[in-house]
Amino acid sequence: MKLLYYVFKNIKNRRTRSILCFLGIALSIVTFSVITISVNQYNNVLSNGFKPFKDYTQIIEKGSNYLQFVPVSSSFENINSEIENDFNISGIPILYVSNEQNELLMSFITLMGISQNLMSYFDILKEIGLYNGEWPQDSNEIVVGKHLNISTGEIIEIREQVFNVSGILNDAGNFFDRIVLIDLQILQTLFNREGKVSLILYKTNEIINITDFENSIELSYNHLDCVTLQEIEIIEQEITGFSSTLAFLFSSLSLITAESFFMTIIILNVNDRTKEFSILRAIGMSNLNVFKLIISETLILSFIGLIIGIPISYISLSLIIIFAGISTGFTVPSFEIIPNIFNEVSKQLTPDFILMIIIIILLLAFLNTIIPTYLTLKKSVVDNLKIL
Amino acid sequence: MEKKKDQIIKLTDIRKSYMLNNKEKLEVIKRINLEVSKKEIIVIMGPSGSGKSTLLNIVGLLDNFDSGSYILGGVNVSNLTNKEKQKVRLNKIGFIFQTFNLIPTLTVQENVEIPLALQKVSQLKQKKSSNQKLKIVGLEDKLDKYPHQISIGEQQRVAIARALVNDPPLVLADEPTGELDYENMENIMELILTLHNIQNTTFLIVSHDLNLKEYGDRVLYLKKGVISET
Repeated sequence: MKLLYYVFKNIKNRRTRSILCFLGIALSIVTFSVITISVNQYNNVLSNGFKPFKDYTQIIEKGSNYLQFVPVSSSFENINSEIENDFNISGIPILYVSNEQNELLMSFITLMGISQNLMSYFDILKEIGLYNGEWPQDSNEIVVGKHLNISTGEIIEIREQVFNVSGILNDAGNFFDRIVLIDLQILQTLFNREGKVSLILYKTNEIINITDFENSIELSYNHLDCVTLQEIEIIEQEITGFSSTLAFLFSSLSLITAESFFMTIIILNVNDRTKEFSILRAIGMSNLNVFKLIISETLILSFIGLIIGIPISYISLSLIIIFAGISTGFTVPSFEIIPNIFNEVSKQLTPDFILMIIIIILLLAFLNTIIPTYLTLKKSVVDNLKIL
Repeated sequence: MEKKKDQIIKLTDIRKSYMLNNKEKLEVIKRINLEVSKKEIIVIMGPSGSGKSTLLNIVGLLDNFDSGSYILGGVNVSNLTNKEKQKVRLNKIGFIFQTFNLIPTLTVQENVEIPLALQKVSQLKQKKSSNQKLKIVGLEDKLDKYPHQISIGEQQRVAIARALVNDPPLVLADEPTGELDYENMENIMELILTLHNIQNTTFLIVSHDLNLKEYGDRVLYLKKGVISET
């Protein structure tokens, strides 16, 4: 008989304890990775939401909520021509209308109004590019996000007006994946918002003095807010910083909870076997060998936990991505492209991240073993042998 | 260092006391002097609380003593480190406990193999030696049984086989028949005698059971920490 065989026999024969132990470890891996990765993913989505507008200074209505990424609730008179004259720059007025009334019988779609002539020149859209089809040639043609699963040539009716889908946008990884691009004037008319826009974008590098521009806008139009690149970055940092802190707290909490569970099982296991270890010590096993025995058992249980935990994390994350995609409309891998979900998870559950989990779990296993083993070995063999 | 050729144990002026909760000192062993020759069977009798087990634990290097000296197999073991004591226990001493103290998750054969595994003996030799000892104790057909699957008498036989599997020169037995009925007691003691005759092992047996008197080459009495021959 080898000592390692003894370890395996213990794992096999103390089945309930072993199952509880590696399930506890697996659970801690799942909660830790799901929380950490979900929040990272959420932060990526947030960053993607801000990303398209990073070259622009925006004018929005005061009080617009930036948490929604696009100010669909904002609606003010288009003052573009006045600003163009005053500052000798050209702006891009945009109107966002939410699909709350299910104009397209689909949820989570934003209708974006932008002058049809500008669509192919607007560099944000140009950068995303068309997956297929072409940019609208007249105001009755529209372009849609790729994840709406609409094909070019399809006819779509919005408020009893018929539109022809001329092009599909490429994957953008943000709200453009679920957007319908309509000519600005048509959208304003359809939704009774003639002359209204949600924001006006100005190329930051075309503004000679950004401070003057900001002050002038906010003084002249007291119902408007000029959001500069710096302000957008601050808003983004505030949101991502908050969610990262929250993620850190939750993942730490999950690790601490799982760790307490794990440690309790180890302590109970070692305490329960105090007499057994004392018999071995009486027969002549060294304290070091007793420690090796306990640590080998804990490490094997941790390893089994890792083998179970990592695939469960993989599956859990896939499910989260599917449901988050469905409910938020930001990352929307469809059910028919399941391999894409796994690709998506693989991007998040990287070898580095897995290695980090393995190191954390094995380190915890080691630390968890040291204390109860030390306490057990500290006790006298004679006293321990008296335990019934 | 004095060394008598046939002497295995020499205890000189051994004292051992415990501190009680009220900080009073309770002297359990009072100046014990004991010499045991090789191949002897010594039975130490005494009532509960007389210090028998404490004495056996001192001889087995499981417990420390306050003063005196202890020579085991010609070597002074009074001031050994824990690691050195562990090595002596592994190579020189076999233990038989009242409650058998078998490992519940190991089979009969695996329990017997433990001392050999700790001595890093080859697996082939482990099997051979354990088979041999289990045959002597009459359990050759129960090798793969677990302790809970065999009778109490058989469990004590396994414990005896384990104590003797690596042929230690000294075996210490603490109330070896304490858990057994009369018939099993007789069987176990006969077995100890048989093994003693085969291996020439020295046995130091402590018990309060007067029936064991007849099995000892010498019978000693321990009363209130003092040893005597009457």
